[in-house]
Amino acid sequence: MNARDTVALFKLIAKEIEDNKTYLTELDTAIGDADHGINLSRGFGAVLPKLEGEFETVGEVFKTTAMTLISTVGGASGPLYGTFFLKMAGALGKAEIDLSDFVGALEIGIEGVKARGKAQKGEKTMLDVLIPVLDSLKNAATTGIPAKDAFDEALQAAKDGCEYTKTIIATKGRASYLGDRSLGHIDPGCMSSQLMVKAAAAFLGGKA
Amino acid sequence: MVSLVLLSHSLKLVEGIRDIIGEMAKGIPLFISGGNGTGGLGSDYAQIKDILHQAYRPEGTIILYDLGSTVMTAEVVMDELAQDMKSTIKISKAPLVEGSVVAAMEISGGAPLTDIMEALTEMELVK
Ligand SMILES: [Mg+2]
Repeated sequence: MNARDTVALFKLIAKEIEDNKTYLTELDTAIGDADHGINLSRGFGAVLPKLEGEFETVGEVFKTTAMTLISTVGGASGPLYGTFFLKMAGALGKAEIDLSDFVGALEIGIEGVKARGKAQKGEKTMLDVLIPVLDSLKNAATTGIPAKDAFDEALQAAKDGCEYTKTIIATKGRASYLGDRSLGHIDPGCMSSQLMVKAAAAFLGGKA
Repeated sequence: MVSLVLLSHSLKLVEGIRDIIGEMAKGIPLFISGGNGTGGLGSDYAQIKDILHQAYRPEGTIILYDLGSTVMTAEVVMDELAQDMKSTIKISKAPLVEGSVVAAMEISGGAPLTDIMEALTEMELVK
């Protein structure tokens, strides 16, 4: 995957977020402050024109996306996804990356999200999708299957992660004020993360 | 003099606190940011970045905030700062309203950063 592919991938992510803007906001209405879809849609809407620039490395595309999200999202997902992509950017300063480069960067991005949100797995946050996705991709990278198949498996891990958040109580973010009333609901941040994995799987599927 | 930065999801909230502080402690270096910059609730990276630079004092800066995501935005800004500037900024988990009043009174009396942070630590919430 090169910088041009990365631009195409982020365009697909932006479309996926835009298409599911209402759904994400509905999820956030149930257990949060009803802005997740609106905020991410504003953020990725601002990312799109920035992707028209020239990029030499994959990391530059990630960094531009990160800084634009930080500046424009306005809710918690701004600093969280911003930090995630920014940390990944630092590990992707190459013209061309493979699956193992991506997995390494993903791990660093997840550490960034943990630090920024002071959160761990099992707190009903985006980490409940991102960590299973990392584990799945890590496993795939060692078996040497094609990236497209790896992301199909990762998408299943993301879906399972989202479903899992229905069974746990939120202990971070606005939903934590609900106590056990957050049970039975999917975490909106998990769903937006799942949509990004879905876009990646679709992108690699289209390329293959 | 130590400077005070108040961050909230709501501009009205921090404007109200500024009014309350203004009755009691005049002339302290006070900076506020509330809302997403386009009139909605949330946080505004560019504004928070701007006020953290304006608030910079060698004596130190204290940030008080309401909910998690405002402080996450401030932490993103702080990560971009040079270490010597970053180390002058302390984030407190004291309740925003009461903590602001305590901090403002201490600042107006000329207290050093460590003493003010000690007073605020006693008030800390689970945030
Ligand atoms: Mg929200």
